Amino acid sequence: MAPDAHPHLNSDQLLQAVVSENELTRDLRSHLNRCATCRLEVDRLARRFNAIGRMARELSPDALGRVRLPDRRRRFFLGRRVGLRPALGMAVAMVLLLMIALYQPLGHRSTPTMPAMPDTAGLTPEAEAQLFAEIQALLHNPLPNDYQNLFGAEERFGDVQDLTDFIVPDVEAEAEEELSTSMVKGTA
Amino acid sequence: MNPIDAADQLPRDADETDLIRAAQAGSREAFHRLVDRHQAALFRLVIVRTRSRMDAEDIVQDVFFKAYAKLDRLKRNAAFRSWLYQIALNKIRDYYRRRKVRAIFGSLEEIPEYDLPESAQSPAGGYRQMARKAFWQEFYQMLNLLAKMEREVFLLRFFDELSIKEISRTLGKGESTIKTHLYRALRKVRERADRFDLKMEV
Repeated sequence: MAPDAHPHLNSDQLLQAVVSENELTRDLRSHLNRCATCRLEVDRLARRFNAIGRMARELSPDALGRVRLPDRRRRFFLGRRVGLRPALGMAVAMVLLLMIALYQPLGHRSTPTMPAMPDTAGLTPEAEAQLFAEIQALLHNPLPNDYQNLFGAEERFGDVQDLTDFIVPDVEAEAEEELSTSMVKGTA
Repeated sequence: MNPIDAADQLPRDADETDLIRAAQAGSREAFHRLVDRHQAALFRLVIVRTRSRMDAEDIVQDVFFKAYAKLDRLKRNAAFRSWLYQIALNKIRDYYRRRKVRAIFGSLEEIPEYDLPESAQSPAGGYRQMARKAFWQEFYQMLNLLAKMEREVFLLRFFDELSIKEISRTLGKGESTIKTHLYRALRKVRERADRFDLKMEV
């Protein structure tokens, strides 16, 4: 047989041959088929990588139990296996919760809602200041202006005071009055 | 006869394609036989990537449950293993996403002490445990040299023993892409692989 003129495969070409000999050029492939040295080296490399994988497989722990499909009567909920009855119970409970959450009494008796609040987001600084002033004024005196002077304050409280004194006389005031009267008599 | 009953009459050495067809028709027995055929390899695939026995067992169970639920979507029965491994890799991805672990192969301190069949009390058991620990340290250090895709392709090829075509189906990439990643991976681990053998001989 004529000696092979093609040089031996270099280390990268040997690895390429381990991955797939089809990846080599036709010349390299034909050299590999004729050259015992290169063939031995490719086989040695392949054996080494295979040996690492085999060793890893042999040293891997074994699974403890056999996987079996769950009983047909059983179902899964949130990744856990549960019986059909608890699952049904949970479903009923969820429906009830949903009904309570969405409950609307009959006859359009809807639950009281908050009155619509004015949108203050778009107010100018002046308008906002005025709004706050009005709020402060309401806090100070919530009675509307039209009702402020329906009764004079003096008159109103005077009447009430007289009436109270008539029903429940002021003991201290009476004692003071008696004292002043006796003093006047005494001096007289 | 009910097709499910008919499927359960399959012979012990039934072809995988027949088992898949029977399982698709609703036979739980046929599916359990498929589980028995693939569970050990699938468990190895998961545990070497999660490094946690408990999580690996949960993931493997989830993979089979999902496979059973979606079995009617499997178009080519011949690709069952690739399909199963694809589900497993997606589950592992979800697992890491959930756990927010830094990387699939993080620091060496995270290597679990796998349950050993031998007693660690006996000298032989103790030696084997040490050798096993040394092996896994070397193994994960070697994998740490690789980019994510290179690592996955390397593992699928040499650890999970998938062909290039199966890896291509599992990862949903072209065969030439898989070959490129594998070639890059081999270039990176070539020198390390020599040290590997020496370490194991010790």
